[in-house]
Amino acid sequence: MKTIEVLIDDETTVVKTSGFTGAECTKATAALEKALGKTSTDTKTPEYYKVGNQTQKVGQ
Amino acid sequence: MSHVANVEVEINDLASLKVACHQLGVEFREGQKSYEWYGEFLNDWNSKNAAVNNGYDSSTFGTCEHAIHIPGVNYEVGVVKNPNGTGYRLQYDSWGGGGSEGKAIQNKLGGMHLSKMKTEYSAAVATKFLQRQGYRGVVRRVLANGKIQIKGSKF
Repeated sequence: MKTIEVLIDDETTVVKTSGFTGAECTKATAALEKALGKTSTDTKTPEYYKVGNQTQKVGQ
Repeated sequence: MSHVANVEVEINDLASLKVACHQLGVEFREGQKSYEWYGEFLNDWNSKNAAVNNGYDSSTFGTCEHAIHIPGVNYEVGVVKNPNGTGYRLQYDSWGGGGSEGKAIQNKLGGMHLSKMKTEYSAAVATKFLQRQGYRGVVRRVLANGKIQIKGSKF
């Protein structure tokens, strides 16, 4: 099961993903991040290299 | 006074902006080419938030591509072309009428930076994206910490 969760407040938008494999996650969220605004940070956790979770923070 | 402010949000999806307006109980006036403001630029504001400091020519103040009207408030928010690229930005007179008109806009839409409009726009963009990508059960929740959560899953 692939899940995308977006958390939005006055300052930032954070995109959290789970269930994706490797770069599939980045591909899945790239269009969303582009639509939401510039990516201020893009931290790849160790799970990036296997099936797991990833969190990306998007500036507003 | 004529404190026309630039709002730091890039609007690339007018449909999502309409949804955000609906959520906030304000009216999106599609194709309205002018927005209500003081009506004359007095060159009396030099804030970093000032539209004149964000690439806008003061001679264009009051003109827009679309407008946002708040019930009971005379002044309006202009949806103007982004001078730095594609899409739109929001612009409004943050003073006006002794400050009451600009204040009324801020009270309804989340302060100087219209934060409520920005967050609702982002929420609408995220919801639309997930639905179009085939995610199921896409839900919008306001969490206890005030954050808006948009979440969806698919196999």
